[in-house]
Amino acid sequence: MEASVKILLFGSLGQEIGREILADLPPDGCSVAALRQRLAAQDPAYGALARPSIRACVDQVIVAEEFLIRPGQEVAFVPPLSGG
Amino acid sequence: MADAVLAARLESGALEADRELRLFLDSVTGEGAVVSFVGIARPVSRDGAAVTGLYLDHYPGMTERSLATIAADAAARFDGARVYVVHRSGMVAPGEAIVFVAAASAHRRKAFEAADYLMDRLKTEAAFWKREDRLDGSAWIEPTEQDRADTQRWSQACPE
Repeated sequence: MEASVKILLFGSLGQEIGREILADLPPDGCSVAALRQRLAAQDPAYGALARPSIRACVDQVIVAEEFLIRPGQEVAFVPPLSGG
Repeated sequence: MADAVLAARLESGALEADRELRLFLDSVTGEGAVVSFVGIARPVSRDGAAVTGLYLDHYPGMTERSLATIAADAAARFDGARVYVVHRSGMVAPGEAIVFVAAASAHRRKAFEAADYLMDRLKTEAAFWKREDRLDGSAWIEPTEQDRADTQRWSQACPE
């Protein structure tokens, strides 16, 4: 059974799409790249999350496209940092 | 000071630079030099448009950690200079303090350098997303080439 995961969005993404969205993950998890594809298929508005400048964070650390996200982890998508 | 004052803090309310400096000065025990810097939100954008406010979005947990890492790196790099960082989040009006940094050291050079280093790192690596609200609309902003070049300076050979 698929597990629902909450995805946090920051900066322009939070403003354009919302602060939080929900996605379904396979029970064994999926890669960041696969999650982006799932999201784009789920809602055209989530297509912005596929932009290469948008990075994925898992448990608050920026991760690569191959990173395997497992249900229960904290997932976020972030635009490039503005700095302070 | 490590006990009395946290090295780095995220502030969602007003940042009172004079109060922060007082706190830091009160923590001085034997250092002969304290340098402080206050960054203030500008009323005009880079291209001359009137700015009504800056909004700093942050990722709770990750943003605090980015501030703490930069502070710890500064202390390590400048021979244990004591450093202090307070950074605003949320809506900041033009004229309000957005960031306060201070550094204390036995002698002035390390304190000046530590404060300079802190600001360069903060400008590019602090985990914030900034939106400039202007009379003619809003725009999310990224570090400038100059900001990146300023940070890059510190990647070259360590002084001394």
